[in-house]
Amino acid sequence: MRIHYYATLREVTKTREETWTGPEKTLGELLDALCKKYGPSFQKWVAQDGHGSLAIFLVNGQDYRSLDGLETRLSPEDTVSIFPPVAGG
Amino acid sequence: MFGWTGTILRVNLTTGEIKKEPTNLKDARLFIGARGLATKILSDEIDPTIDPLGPENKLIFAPGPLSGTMAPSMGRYDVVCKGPLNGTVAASNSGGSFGPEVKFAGYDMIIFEGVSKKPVYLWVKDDQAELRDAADLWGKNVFDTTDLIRAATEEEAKIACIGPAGEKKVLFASVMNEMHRAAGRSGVGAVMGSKNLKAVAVKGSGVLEVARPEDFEKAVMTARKMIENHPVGGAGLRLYGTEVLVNILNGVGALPTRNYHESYFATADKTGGETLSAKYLIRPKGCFSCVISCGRVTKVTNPKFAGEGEGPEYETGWGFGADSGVDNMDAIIKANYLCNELGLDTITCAATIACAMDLYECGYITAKETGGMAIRFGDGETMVKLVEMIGNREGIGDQLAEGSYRFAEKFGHPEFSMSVKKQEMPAYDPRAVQGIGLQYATSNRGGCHVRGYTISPEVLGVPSKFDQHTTEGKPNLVITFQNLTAALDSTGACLFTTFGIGADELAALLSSVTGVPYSTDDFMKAGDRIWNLERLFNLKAGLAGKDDTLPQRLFEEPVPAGPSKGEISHLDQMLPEYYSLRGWTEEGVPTAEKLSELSLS
Amino acid sequence: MAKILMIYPEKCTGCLNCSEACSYTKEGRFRSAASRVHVYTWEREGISVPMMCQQCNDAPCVSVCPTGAMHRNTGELIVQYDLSKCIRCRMCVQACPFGNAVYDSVTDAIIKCDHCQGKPACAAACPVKALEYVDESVSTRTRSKAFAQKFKEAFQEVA
Repeated sequence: MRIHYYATLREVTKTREETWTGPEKTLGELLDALCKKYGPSFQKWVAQDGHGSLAIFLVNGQDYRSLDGLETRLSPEDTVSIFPPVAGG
Repeated sequence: MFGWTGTILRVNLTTGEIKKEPTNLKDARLFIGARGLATKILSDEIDPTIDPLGPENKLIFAPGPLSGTMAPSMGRYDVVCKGPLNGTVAASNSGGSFGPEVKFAGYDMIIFEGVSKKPVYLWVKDDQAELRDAADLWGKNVFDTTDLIRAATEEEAKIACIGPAGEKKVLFASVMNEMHRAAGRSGVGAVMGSKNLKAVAVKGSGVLEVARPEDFEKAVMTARKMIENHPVGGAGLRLYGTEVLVNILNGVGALPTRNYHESYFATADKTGGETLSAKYLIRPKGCFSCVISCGRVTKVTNPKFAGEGEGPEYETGWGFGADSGVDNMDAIIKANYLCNELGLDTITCAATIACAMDLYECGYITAKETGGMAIRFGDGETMVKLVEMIGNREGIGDQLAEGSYRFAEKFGHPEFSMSVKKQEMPAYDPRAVQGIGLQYATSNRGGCHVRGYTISPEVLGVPSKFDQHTTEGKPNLVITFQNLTAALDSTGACLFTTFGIGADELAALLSSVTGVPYSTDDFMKAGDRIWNLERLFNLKAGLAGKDDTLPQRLFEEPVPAGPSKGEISHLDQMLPEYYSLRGWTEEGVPTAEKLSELSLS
Repeated sequence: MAKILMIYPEKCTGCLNCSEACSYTKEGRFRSAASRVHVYTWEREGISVPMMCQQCNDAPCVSVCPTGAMHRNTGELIVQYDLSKCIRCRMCVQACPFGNAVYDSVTDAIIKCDHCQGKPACAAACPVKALEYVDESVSTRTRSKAFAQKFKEAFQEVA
């Protein structure tokens, strides 16, 4: 699974993308695992009760809210893109 | 008087007469100010069928009732006239601090009529106004013009001016203020050039008061807090600027690429806000009373494309980037600087060049027509050269200066122009985002995103998420955004305040400043009224329902690759409902009943 | 604790919220000349610098004032202006080396920053903290720390 990070998350994770080989089966599980790995400075941008409700999560270019939300199932060939809520124009 | 100053300055460039007249306050209440009120005056005073570059057109510089107060990020103004790019009513919005200065000088707007025999500029200092010879300024770029006029008037005068592009009547010439802020679209700069008006310089030492200070202070604090707490209005835009949208739109497969042949650009990241911030950003910049600071002070050091200034914004980064197939950020930023110096709309300029690239690659124009130049997608150097040629109407630039539609039509392929009503569509692909396609098709000035920015709900999920690929509920969504934006524009507010506040807060600010009680409904109704007024003007100018459409490519060529592969625009599923919800006939004409409801009969 | 109104021009966006807030606080309305803060903007380079009275210890405006209109009360930090004693000689305007005292014809008075009784409106209004009302002892820490950070990064790389 490939994960792409954008905007402020690049500074937090110190990378643009990473290959993920963890056991997580849903988007929600993956986000939890990433929050654990990168800590509170990552969590504040993606947690649903904070700014995360405005974050954009794409699975293969499809917005997670048009799929099964945080229950969207993931497979090893998927690409997940995570955008913190920073944009407009 | 509060909010409105009550005085309009009217300048007859033919006779040289300058006079003051009272603002029609009944109209001011109904149409608010800026875009709305100036459009009302234009509608009353000119025949919509006139030649936009002829002497009968009028050019109005109009701030809003909030401009000049401490209402947060609400110091903008509009340049209003009949637009020469496509004959629609043009109201081009700009920030900086020019608008507030007009208010401080004591005016709700400055109206120019007629044509000056020789190049002139207007110098306004409070109640004194005079036309001055601009012979020494004619031919100078925007930056030099601004400095020279300041030296000749006052160092802290605010200047709105045209560059060589406006003087040469490039059909998408802009009016620039504070050097880097643009009233960009629809060719308002060409109208200024056609009147031999080089600049408007203003210095105001007057007073602006608010009707209900306590309510105003509360409304300002509330609005500031809401904007500051919003991740976009409060942090994102200051950190990355609007260019941060590049990767998002690309991520969902909605970044029009190579003149709308595709909607995904593989190297988009090189042209986005993250790259801009990391490599080119010096510091953020804010317009008058702004709390968001989305402006980018930038610099390019590569000697081939060296320059400094402000920008680029998202549409510019897209137009000179993905749309032209260019991922050389130095070239993109240089093209942006040149547009500002010459006074050109970056969206139309870039999309016109992209159209030329498309025609060249398909063999419909050749080296014979281009004077030996190869114009190909991805060639940043040629792209930058073309911007200079367009701004000066040199070589093929003279033909490109007519915009993509007339250019493509001349070579037998108008369908290569990615425009609506001859104004080029900006940076969101209607095949990938259905609602924005309806906005483009119905916008009162042609291809335009900003007046009905449904990208917010459809892609960003602000204020709530709508599926970008479906058509359900989109007509209502587009109408709501169009009405809200029309009213918002007319107050002097910046659209980006909507990353934080909405109609409630805007109505509260407007009421506390002017003393006129606007409910949220009144506010939205004013927006509906302004939208319909613009529609009426356009219908009288000769446009019709059949012009509410999109380029054939978006119906016939599905997106070939990327996250939105296979999609086309389903405008036909949305347009009839749009007309119906607007209270218009099936041909898109406002009914008598609708006009009466809006006090427009 | 002594406070200073710190200016960080590197952060200033040129938005003029400070001038607007100052004018509104002092006169209840918006008038650019009423602002005790003046922001200078260089548009080509995109740099803006807010300027206001620096409350000098041995203030030249106080030294030259013939009536004591410009004065400092013992133990206080602010150079005060007593309108009732002012004869509008404008010697303070001549004397200030920074040009931070000006004569305003509309109110017929000298305009000069007085920190708004300890709650400067300009600092509160600034959206990017380009103006901050801070204890003198920590006033320059943000700036010097920013440069200390560069030292740190340089040495971390080498080590």
